[in-house]
Amino acid sequence: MPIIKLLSSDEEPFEVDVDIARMSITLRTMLDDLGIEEDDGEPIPVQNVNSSILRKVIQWCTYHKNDPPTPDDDEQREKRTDDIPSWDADFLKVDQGTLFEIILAANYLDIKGLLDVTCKTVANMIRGKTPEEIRKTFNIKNDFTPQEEEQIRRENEWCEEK
Amino acid sequence: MECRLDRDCLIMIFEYLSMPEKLKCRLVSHEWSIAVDKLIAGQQYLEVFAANSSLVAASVEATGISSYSSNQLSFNSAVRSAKKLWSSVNAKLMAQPEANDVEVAVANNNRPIMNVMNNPIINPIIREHRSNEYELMNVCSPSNLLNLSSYYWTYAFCASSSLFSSYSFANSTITSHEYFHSFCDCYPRQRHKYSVILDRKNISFETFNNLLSKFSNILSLVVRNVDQLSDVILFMITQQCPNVQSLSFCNCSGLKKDKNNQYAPLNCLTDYGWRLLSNSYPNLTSLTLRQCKLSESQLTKVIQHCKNLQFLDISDNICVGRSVRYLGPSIECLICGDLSNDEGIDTILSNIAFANGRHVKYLSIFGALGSLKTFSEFDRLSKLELHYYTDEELPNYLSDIGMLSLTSLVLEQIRCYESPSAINVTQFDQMLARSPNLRRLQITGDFDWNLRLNDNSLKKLTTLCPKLQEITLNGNGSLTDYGIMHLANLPLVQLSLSSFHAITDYSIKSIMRKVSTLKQITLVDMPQITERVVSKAIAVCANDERRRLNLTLSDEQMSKRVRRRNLTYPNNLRVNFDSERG
Repeated sequence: MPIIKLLSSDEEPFEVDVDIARMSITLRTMLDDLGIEEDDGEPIPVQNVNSSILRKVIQWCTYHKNDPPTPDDDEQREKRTDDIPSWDADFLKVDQGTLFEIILAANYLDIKGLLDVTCKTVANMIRGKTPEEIRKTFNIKNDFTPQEEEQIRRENEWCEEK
Repeated sequence: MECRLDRDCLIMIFEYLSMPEKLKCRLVSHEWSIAVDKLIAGQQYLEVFAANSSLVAASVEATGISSYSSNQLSFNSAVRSAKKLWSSVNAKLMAQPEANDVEVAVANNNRPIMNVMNNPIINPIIREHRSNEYELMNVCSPSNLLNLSSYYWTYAFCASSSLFSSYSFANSTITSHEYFHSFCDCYPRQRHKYSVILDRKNISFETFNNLLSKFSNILSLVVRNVDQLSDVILFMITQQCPNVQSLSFCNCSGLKKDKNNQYAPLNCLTDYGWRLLSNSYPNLTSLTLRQCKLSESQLTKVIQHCKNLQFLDISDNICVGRSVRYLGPSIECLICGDLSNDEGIDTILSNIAFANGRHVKYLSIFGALGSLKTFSEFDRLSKLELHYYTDEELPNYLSDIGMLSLTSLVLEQIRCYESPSAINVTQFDQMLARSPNLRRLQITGDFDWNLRLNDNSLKKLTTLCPKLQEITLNGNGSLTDYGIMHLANLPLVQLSLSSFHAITDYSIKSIMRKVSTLKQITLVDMPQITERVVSKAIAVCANDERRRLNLTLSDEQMSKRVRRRNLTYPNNLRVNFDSERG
């Protein structure tokens, strides 16, 4: 199996099967466009992704390398969130900071399966929580002034006004 | 750790949330609120849906919006318990792999036919049942309510009064027609995603305007149970949403009087609104104005102004009259009439056939049964639904359906409790004479009617309509196992039977085994059917992995016996007991 080298943003090298690297559309395009040979020895820099996150991403891709291709997003397909495989659910039991970084990395590297499953996980964390609980969970600062908050609540009023 | 998601990622996450959840997220931070607004601005479908306030409160509470206004809202304990139910419903809707799985409570003799919340949404379905022995239990779980409402709503073409027929229709494997409201057709499972639920029937103009402004790119708008259909409302829609192609008002009447019994000055509906509509939306192809208390002259104005309609549903208004004479040249699908009025189907038909209406492909009429001779003037009609009642002794009109060559025929008779069906053996043969391509046949009546067909009718059916895929029948007639056995010669996909006292396991098991195309079998109130059909279904599916079979039964005793036996079902078999509730 041909191997290529990836270099995380904090300059840690990773050796990966080409087939696994190619699960990232971003890397696949790069490999195809640049015609990079596996034996070049020159590591490919993966900007924006640090070593701990890149390790997680590679771990996910390795586990899922034989998955059938995900169908293209069409509007009519139902967006379900209760179909997260148990391996992925365990894999994503991380703090929210790491989870967000994996989402950003999956988005940057364009790995659809990983992006789907992480977004679903976050959607499940949002469901049923109050805005305050959401801020607490995701470490988000409330940057509304009381007036702005009132304004948004008024805009939302069709579902809460009595 | 400081890590923030960018807007694209937030939008991808929010796509998995229902509308109330999305709105809640607007309260989290500036960035989140912008992301939500961006997402919903791209939305193409919107339903504005008024439900009763406890349901809405439950929804609000379950999603977590409520904490922000808990000082204004006091929830009672019933609502709190509803919260749990709501979230399970929500999860269930998300989890539904097929629309077929939506359970509808159809029960057998002497039992409450369904449990519903006392809710305006349900009323249209049960209205016709008020007069007979069907009991209605108020305030049960929201899950039944939701199932029934979403299912009534899915059911645009055949807005029927009979629960059994609507049940079978909702489970139909055949798309009813291509103008089936695109929103209804494609998105029943995703309804939460597109629906804004209101807690009252009157909505302030400001609120409505504000709401529409967030959804400026919608192609399809559904307004349901909101008591405002007026020039002002139409004006706001045309102002805020320039791309609408499909507009639907159901159970909305604009002419509400205020406390002093006066019409509110802004609450009128004149030419202006409809002219505005046709000027603003040259591409408006689908219009639904169901149960809006519109008179003949109001409907005439609508139809005169909206000349490009392909789909028009004006059922359950005051009077059709001559309004349908003005249909535009593009009309293909028409739904009209009202079972609570005296207007006869014969009158409606001749008005439709007066001009462009005679070229419709799909027609659904509600009214008093009368002469159907006018069908000779229809030149493209292929899917027909008649929902009728009759006071005549044994009328003979249905034979004239035989002038048409149909692919789908639905006959539903109401107010026929314990009386003979209008259809009989002779009319049955004649009405199908020119429909060798018929795919769907549905003949239903009120509970305990007498369906005047016999085993020989079913035998003839197999030669008259050899391509039939879907059969729905109910009724206490003289049909027996022999009749059902004949159906094994048809390429059936779906078979729904209700209230046949002479049909036993024997024919059902046989047809299950012989007809490998059969996917859905529904048996409601069939006293001779036992758990052996379940065993047979298991055997059939275990033998052939390619088979996919849904079996729906309604008998509570049987459900208990089956459960006691702890059967394991193969993956390709799904068995539902509609009586399993509570």
